[in-house]
Amino acid sequence: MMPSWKSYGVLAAGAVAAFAAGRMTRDPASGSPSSNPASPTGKPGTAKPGSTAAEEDLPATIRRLENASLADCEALLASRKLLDLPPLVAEALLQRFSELAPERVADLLLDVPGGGTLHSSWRTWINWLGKNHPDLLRAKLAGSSLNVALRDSIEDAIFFGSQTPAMREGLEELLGKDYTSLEQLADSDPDQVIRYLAKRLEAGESTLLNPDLYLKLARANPTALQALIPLLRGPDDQLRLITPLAKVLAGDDPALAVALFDSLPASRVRSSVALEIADAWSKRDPAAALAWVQANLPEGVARRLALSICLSPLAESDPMKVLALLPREKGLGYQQLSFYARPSESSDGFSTSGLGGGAQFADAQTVRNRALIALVASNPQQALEFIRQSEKTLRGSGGDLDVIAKGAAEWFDRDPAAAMSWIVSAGEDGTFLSGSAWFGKGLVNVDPEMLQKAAASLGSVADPQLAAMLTKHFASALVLDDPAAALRQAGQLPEALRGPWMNAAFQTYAKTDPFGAADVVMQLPEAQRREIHSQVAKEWMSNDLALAYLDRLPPADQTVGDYQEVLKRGSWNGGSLENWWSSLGEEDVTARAAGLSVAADKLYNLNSASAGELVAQIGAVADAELRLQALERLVKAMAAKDPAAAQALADRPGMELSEEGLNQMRAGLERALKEK
Amino acid sequence: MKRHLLIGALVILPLAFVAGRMGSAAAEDAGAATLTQAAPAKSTTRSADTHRNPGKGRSPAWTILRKRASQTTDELIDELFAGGGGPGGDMWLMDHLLATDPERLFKEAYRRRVGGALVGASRRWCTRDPERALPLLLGNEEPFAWRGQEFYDPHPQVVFNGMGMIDPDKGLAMIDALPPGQFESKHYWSLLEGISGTSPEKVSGCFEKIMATGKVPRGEVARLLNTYASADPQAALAWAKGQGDPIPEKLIGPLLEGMSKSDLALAGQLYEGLPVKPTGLASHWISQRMARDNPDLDATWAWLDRNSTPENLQSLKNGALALWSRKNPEAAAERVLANPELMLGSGYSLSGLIKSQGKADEFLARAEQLPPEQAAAIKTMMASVLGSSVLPPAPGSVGAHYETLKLMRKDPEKGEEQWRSMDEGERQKMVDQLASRDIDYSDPALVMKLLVEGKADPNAKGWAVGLARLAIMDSQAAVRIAEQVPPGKARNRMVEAIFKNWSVDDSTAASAWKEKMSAGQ
Repeated sequence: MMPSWKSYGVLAAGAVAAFAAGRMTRDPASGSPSSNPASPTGKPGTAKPGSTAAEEDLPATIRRLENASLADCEALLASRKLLDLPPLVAEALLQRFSELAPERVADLLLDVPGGGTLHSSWRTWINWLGKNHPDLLRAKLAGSSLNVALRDSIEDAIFFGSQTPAMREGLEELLGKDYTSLEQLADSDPDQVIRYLAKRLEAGESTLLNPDLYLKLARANPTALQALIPLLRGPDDQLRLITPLAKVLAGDDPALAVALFDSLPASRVRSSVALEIADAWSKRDPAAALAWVQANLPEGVARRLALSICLSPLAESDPMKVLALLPREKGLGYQQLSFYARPSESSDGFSTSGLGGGAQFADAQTVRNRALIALVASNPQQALEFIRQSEKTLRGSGGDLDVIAKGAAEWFDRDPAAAMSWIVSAGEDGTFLSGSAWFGKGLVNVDPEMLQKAAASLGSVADPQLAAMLTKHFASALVLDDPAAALRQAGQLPEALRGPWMNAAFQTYAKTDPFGAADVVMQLPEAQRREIHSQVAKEWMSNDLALAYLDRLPPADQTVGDYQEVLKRGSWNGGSLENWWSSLGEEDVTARAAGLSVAADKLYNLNSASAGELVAQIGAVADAELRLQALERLVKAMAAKDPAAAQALADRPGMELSEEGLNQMRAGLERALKEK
Repeated sequence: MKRHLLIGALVILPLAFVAGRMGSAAAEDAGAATLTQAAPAKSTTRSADTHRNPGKGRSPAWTILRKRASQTTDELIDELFAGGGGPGGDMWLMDHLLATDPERLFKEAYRRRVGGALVGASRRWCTRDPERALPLLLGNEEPFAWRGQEFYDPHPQVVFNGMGMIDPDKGLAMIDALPPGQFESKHYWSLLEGISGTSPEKVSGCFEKIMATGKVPRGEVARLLNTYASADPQAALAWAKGQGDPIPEKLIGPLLEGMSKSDLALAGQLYEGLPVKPTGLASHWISQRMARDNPDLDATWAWLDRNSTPENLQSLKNGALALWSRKNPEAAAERVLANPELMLGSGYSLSGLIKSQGKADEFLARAEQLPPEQAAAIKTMMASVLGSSVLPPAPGSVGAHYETLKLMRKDPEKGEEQWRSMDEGERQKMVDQLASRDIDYSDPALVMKLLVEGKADPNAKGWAVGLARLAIMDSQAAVRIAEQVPPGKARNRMVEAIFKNWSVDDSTAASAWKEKMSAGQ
């Protein structure tokens, strides 16, 4: 299948290739977008129409552009937009235009829809114009109706352009403040930057550049960079400079990096060099790298990390070896080599502080986890053995068994029947695995069809505890992919599992989309609907979500009781009750009646509504009993703030209420006022 | 020879004009380090081809472009991730990789567990090429589909702004078809943002359709309305009026914030007419917009006088002044010269302005007439643009002692001489500053030497921090110092600092030493 290659695919690549070969004419490029049907589901990388030509010709294209005439440049662009070109070619073209005809840079940039959002170096070039050709930008501002964001960007470019350091300032002073310039210079003249660093270090300053900049320098001239090592006096500078250097040396030849390792005293930076050696060497010869690490690094976090780097390639092919050499350890703490523990400034404890080491490697835990998952996939029987032998202490959160549970869940994606019988055969351990939250997380990625197949066999699971766990996780996972299928599935389950299935499905579904959940429930028979509404109100959803769910139901399904159930709960987040109340419309009579009967006092105290408004709304409640409850609450709340008004309201409520209820309310008020 | 290349020529450092930087370079390599130390032979060969002379007067951008054009995908990916995957030097590198080999890019981002790069790449892709990116990122195929479930698993982010730019209806249909596990109401907002950037006239229709889905939580409406108002103020106002009379408080703020971008006059007027001012940033955005668009600063200030709360008034006025000065630099310089204290509120943007208007000397002279505290604060601000020569560190200050440390490292003999020539009191002051970490110097060996010699209080935090840093470089040196300290709470803290760091590299030795030290108590 052809991937959807955006316009700079076939179209631009053909033109660029032609340009590179020096036979560009003003004719439109061959090929058209329609010859490359968009196919949004296509896989990437399976075919790259035209891009091959462009990639091969890219160096030639850039070389030609470097000396291209204005006419050549215009021809390359032809009738295309900047965005239609491959990004690197577009950049070179802008560079060439900037040398030949800066006004074309301005034209092209302002032609990009959405301004800086779409073209990655848009802002860079706008700022270049602001600095060097502000008049070109001023002309653009004057003559058109630009949107605000675009206008602001251009005005800012002109302003910042006028603010740049004066030309007479020396390079060094400029570089001291200007990281971007330094970075660019590292590409164009790395030796210059290395000399500059040497000067700073000799003057007793720290260099503290980012490791990526050192990486550039190390690639360009490792010898010169290595010569700076004796000048480094702080751990920060050491790690930032030496780690990238080791990466480059190890990539060239592990023996070079080993020589560097041997030249350093035992230290954090030496450990960091060891990691780079392990990384580069294990890609060529994992066994040799592993042997070197085992022979050269003492126990500690550094060794464990180095081992995990060497073992990472074996995680899937030889999981048992990985598990043996990387025992699960807790309490080793700070697994990141690039951080150091420093005494906290404020307390007696320690905190970690960044040292900006270069390496980012998979830690031991990750490698071990991969091995566990691979073990389930490749040798489930051995995995069961492993579980049986594992210590109970490793059953904690995130422990080996959680990871195996995740692996078991992923198995359902490949072969639900086999996975099901495995977990049933595991007995007590199977129940433990299915209870793990990681099991649920693993199921989220399983194909819904496979989940349905697995769910269909739930009836045959004898152990009720295991059946309940599996039901819960299958339902939660399926509802996220296909709510309707999850509902249908419930009907096919044994009676005892239907309730737990629906419960789990709804709790999960409603968390992401209470409205959608309400809509789906409305497709069920009435009795089942009632039950679900009431469970939602009682406990299945959080306050806000439950209200959103009830609001979404058609009036015939809304009940005062359900609303009251939610509103009676405690723990209302700031503003959520008021927001809900103020969102109610004229037609929401059930919600309003329920709200007043349970929360008239809260609404009054929160100043969501004035006493007058509330009284009017209470008067409009049809049910006499609810009216009385609401008024009682309001009067009580008013008694605390405004006794006279409370008394007046109790004397003349201005609405129809039973005499008995009124008397009760008045007596209650009298007691409250006396206590006060 | 690099020297000849740079001297005299305007060395344009292209792609680096983030702030329009340009420098005439005067390379000084006379005192540079001798870069001749022997290193493994193989690595020296690589210098040859990266040191192509770009040619006199040629922009170094071409060196970089040529290099990038011939680099393999692996090398380009290394470049990208070396910078943490963010937009580093070459802004277009990410786009280039997304266009040529997105599969590889995502595989690497997952393999290296670089969350920032995943977020950056996925957002960028959704923006630049949404029709290709979205089905893959929302699909079920490796490496694009997110397989992790832990909050700390790096994961991509999906945005619909790109879809909004090219096909709003299709974008909306895509969002509505998302399964619950992938649907997020914030997708509506990114879609609307995209539409507002390219086709503001379509925002109104799309907003109505979004609201009709019923899937927008109440809290999200404000954000959508903000975008709506920034594209179509009249329609947004009409919609908001339909939500209640008066417009509900939680909607009026976002409405005016958005409107300030599209119809400033109307926004200012509506705000002024409100009996109760909304909380939030509406007055900030309106006054910022006024400051940008209205050459009469006094009018903006007068609007603020009428509409701002007293506690926000001054900072809003300062913000307006700073923004207004960008387009009115001469007038702004005059104003600040007449009232130097204005700089104190508006900060560094004004100090840059004074400098670029060539008024620095005159301004500093006027500032001298202010009360000493204000004058000193202003000098500090000017020093940030004029260089520290305006403000040499006062004798005995942290800055002056930092210079002494630099000298001690640069030229130990001269440094020692200066240290000895200080009087007793000042030496003690410097030691105290190191011990309390008011001075944070990068060389732990030097810091520890001075703390030991100066007999600094062993309870001071500088000891444990200095030893922790020293232990990373040279555990034995740190051990020797700690062993000289008499047993007690202070020493325990030092031992712990050394142990924690040493044990990363050698837990056996570190534990043995720690045991020995606690036994010696």
